[in-house]
Amino acid sequence: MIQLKKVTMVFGGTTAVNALDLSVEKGELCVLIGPSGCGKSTTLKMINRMIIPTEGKIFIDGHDNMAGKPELLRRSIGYVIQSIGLFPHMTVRDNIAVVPRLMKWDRDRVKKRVTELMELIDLDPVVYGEKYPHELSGGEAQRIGVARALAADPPILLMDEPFGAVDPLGRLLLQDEFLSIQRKLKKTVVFVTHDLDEAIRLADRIAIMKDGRIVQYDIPETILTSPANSFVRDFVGVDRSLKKLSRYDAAQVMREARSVDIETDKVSEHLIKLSEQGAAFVWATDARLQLKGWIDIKHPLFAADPLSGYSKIEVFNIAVQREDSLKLVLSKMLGQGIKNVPVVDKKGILQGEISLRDIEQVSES
Amino acid sequence: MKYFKAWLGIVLFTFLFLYTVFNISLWPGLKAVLYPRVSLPQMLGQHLILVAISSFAAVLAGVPLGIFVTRKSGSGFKGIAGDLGALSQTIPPVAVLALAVPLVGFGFKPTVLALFLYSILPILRNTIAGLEEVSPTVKEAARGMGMTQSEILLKVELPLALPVLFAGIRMSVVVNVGTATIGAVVGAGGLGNPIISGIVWNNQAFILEGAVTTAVLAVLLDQIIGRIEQSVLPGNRLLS
Ligand SMILES: Nc1ncnc2c1ncn2[C@@H]1O[C@H](COP(=O)(O)OP(=O)(O)OP(=O)(O)O)[C@@H](O)[C@H]1O
Ligand SMILES: [Mg+2]
Repeated sequence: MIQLKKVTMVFGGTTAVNALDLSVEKGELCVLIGPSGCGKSTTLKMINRMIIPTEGKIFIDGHDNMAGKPELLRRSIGYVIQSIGLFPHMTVRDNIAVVPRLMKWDRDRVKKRVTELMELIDLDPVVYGEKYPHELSGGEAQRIGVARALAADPPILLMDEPFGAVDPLGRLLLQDEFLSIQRKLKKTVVFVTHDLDEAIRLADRIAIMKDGRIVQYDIPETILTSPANSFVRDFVGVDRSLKKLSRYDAAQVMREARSVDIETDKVSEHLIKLSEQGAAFVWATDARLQLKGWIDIKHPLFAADPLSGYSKIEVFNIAVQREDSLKLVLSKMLGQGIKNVPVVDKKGILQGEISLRDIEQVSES
Repeated sequence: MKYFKAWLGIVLFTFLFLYTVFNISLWPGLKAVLYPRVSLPQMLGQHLILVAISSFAAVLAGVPLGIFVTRKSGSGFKGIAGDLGALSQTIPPVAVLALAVPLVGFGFKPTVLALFLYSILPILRNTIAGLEEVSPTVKEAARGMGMTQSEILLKVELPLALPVLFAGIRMSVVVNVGTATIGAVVGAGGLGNPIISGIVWNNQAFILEGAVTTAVLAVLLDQIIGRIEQSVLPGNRLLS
């Protein structure tokens, strides 16, 4: 748990942070967001004592962070910065191993841990382990930045625009990956971003900052539905209900999908049964449930051949993945002009479906 | 094999040189083609010692000084250090010799002093440049990871500054090998001996003996330092 009590930081003439109170519960992900220069990075850096506040106190699990050596404090707090700051003269492995080595872990333990982390961030240790940072893509480097921060398994993570330098699509992937890591590891995280969608997606709580103060600190739903004042309202913007969609995964709202296996002999029988139940269409899969297309049950020639309404689809153009956000699902629907999208896993196996109505319900709730 | 051509050049050059110098028939009118008072290996040895001691001292002084003035506590001295370094290189080594001889006597000591002063600037300057080139975000990351100041210096700053630092040492040593020939003027021996005698006695073979050996020595040392650099640097050649 992190507590900031009446913390103020003055640089020369500028008050970067002004009597700020903030408390982040254990295992919670708190996002700091606000206009440039409002004091987000300064707040973050005061937590691990990179900056020492002019006034006020900061407690970590009840202990004043000014007690003890700053280096020891920092080793117990993972830190990711926007520009990543990987060490250019060290391999990926050595980069990740920095903090464990500072903490004098023995060789085997370091090695094991690095391998484990590379698997966690989905980078093959054999392929990437001996690469140097200049041989990595932006997204890979960011993930290694995160792995490095997690290396010594610190209970707290400070992340300053960790995905800021990645293109929007790559950023979505990194967010997904980070969310699933965070769900597993349950770190106490303070996360700075400029991107409201990212904030809504990741946060347990969002702190909206302005001029070194917190204007509103609440769960994303409340921030979206009842902004504390006009600043927050303007900041959150007009399409608030749409923004809410970033908080949900496809997997969270999908319903069971009606499908038939088109490779069995009984396919016609199934289709007729479904037609009698009043279905308009069903998804078509192969025997392994891999999505192949859809079948229009209301097709004029249905009576003659139930399979006449079958159309193949380009699965990865139409379908969404389990971890795609509802916002992405909606844009896919609008882009393809369809009211139902299938949800598949990475191998293209049908998992469920989402309809436009489902999305409307989420955004109105 | 990267250096194959360089080595081939050196071997060829040495061969031609030896052939020219030892073959008295090529030098009509000269009674001797090799400097008679001291043997070539002996002069080479003297020369190497002059260079080694002065360069070593220059590294020992220049690198720590460069580190010191790039620390927070020493940043106030950066200007002065730079000026002193520049000054020590603008005073001609011959002038240093002239000033030093009355103080420390003839021979080895004033020569080493003059060479030391003359060598220090490139080392100091490159140490500072190399350390200042390390990106602030990398240093911030190091601090944020929980490295102490000395860990940041040893594990991050120095390894990253190494290519630039080594370039300074190489340059300094190469120049030093040439400059060390002035040692002969005050009786420190070395490869300057045949050159000066050659000028005095109008014997081109002596001059050639000293000059070419000096040049070959410079190239060789440059290569050797390059090798050392390769072996201490990790596989980050792209950085330099
Ligand atoms: N080391 C410093 N010296 C002087 N002023 C500083 C320093 N660091 C930050 N400031 C000032 O403090 C204020 C807050 O800076 P901070 O970096 O915390 O903003 P931020 O919210 O992180 O902005 P951004 O979104 O642009 O990263 C700014 O006005 C900045 O100019
Ligand atoms: Mg910032």
